[in-house]
Amino acid sequence: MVNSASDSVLKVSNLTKDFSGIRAVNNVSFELNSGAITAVIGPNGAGKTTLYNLISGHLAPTSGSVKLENKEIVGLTPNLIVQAGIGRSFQITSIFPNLTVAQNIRVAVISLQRKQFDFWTKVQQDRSLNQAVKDILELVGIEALAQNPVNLLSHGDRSLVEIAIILALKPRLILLDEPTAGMSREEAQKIVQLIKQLQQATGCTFLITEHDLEVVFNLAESIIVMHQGQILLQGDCQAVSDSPEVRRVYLGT
Amino acid sequence: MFNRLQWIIIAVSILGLFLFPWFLSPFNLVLLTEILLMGLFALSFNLLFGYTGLLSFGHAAYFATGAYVCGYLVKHSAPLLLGILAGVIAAAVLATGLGYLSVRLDRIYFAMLTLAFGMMVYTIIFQWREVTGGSDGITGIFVTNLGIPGIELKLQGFSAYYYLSLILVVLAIYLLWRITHSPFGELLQASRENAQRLLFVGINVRQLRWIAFILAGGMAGLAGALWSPFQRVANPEIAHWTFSTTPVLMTILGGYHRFAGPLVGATLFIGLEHWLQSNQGYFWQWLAGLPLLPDTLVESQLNLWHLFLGLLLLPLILGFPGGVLASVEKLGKFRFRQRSQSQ
Repeated sequence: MVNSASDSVLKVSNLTKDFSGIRAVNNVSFELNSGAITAVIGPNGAGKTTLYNLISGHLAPTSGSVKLENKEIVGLTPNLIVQAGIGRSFQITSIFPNLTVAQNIRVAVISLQRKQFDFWTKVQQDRSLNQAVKDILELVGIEALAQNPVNLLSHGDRSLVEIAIILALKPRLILLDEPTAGMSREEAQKIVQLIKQLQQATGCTFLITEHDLEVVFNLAESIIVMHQGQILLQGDCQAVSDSPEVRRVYLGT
Repeated sequence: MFNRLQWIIIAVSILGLFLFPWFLSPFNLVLLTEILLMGLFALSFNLLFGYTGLLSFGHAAYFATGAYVCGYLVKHSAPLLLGILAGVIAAAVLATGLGYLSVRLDRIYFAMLTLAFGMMVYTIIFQWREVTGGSDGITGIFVTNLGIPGIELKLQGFSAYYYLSLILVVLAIYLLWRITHSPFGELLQASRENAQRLLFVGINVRQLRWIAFILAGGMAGLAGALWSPFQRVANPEIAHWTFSTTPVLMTILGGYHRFAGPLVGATLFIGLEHWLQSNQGYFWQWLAGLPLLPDTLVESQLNLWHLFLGLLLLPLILGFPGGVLASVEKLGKFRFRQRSQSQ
């Protein structure tokens, strides 16, 4: 793996998190290269979601540092970390249920354009807001759903809305937590294609956790294998599938 | 933004409201002023409840603050507009302080916290006799001048005060309408739907809720500041938590998913209240025919119109889920669809 300092978007160093005696994340260090798709895999309880929560500011680490483009982000509140350029999804799809698809995306655009203290403009007549919403709807391919309330959408479409919300924030790094969880094979394939397409179109860096190894090998250029809070191995797909240690802890063979 | 029908309804209502003093008796004009002020109070409550998803059980504190500050100043011969301005500012300042603490929690914890703060305000008003008049309240609030040089209104008359209230309330409602339809207003709704997601969209949710709380407090303060010179008294009941339930009931009755819901609710509520107060004799006659009721209760003819109000509100709230306004709208759309299908 080539690691030049200027290409690194995220640098995690010696990150550790204790939960009353249990070390959920133990001295984890890695770097993410700009524009790459990296997957974090590992059995349940390996510390993947905790790692996400530490990076996105949901939890404060016990020790260690996280740098986004050489800027320390540990200690920032979640909303400031989003403003710094990290967007994330949640394992259970997290959207605004009684708002329409367009409104869901517009909420993110309002945040990006820093219009949260605009008390006067009519939101439906704000051109720059609604143009940005339209662009995102097209990018994700859900223009047809724009006026539907999201609580009436299928699970797969809701995941698309969640990805659209994250994209609307124009982040440099996107953390996706199990983007294909609970989906049919076709829906999962659609998400995989979309993520590849978005990587091409936006140049964003992706970090993805995933249970489905087929999805992982299909998508990721680099894989981080976690086990009991530690990084067991980091490498490309070949290295991971060849490693006897990974087979032992993850595949159980 | 609005369709043609909505524009017509709004225009006709505002025009009607301006023309009413020519048609209505003084008593009905008083009723209408009460509806306007309570309607604004309920709308300000719904900025927190319907839009932001925060159920406040202490909203009376801000209404009462506006009422007492304005009442006190007017009683000591300050011009009315100055009193109103001071009342709004005082309520907003109180909401800034108590809101800062209240928005740290949400759901039932927020409701309990606002209830506790509301009762603190009530206790202060009840005990601080030198300024607030204790249990008697501030009485004999008579408006002597408006505060704009050159304009003299006979504010003791009902219609002049009605017009003043109408203008200020319409302005406040317009302001609230713009706020709820602005980017800020859209974020409020998003915070009601999913506060965590909003945080991870980059918004400081606590700050957002705090601002909403201050705006709602200030608006309640305006309703209160207009209330005490209108009633000519500011009594501690308007600070009590039971008074905080009035906008809750009005809002649920009218429908909290619609901007105008609380206004419809306030109209229905106050209309029913007065109708019952003046006609409760009929209800007693009707009750006397029921077999199980103890004779002594019927004979006493107690002032139990609240009981009847509850009995009437129950089917209204159960029968119109989502509020009267939403149900009427749905019925209208249904009719419209039927008609267009049959053509």
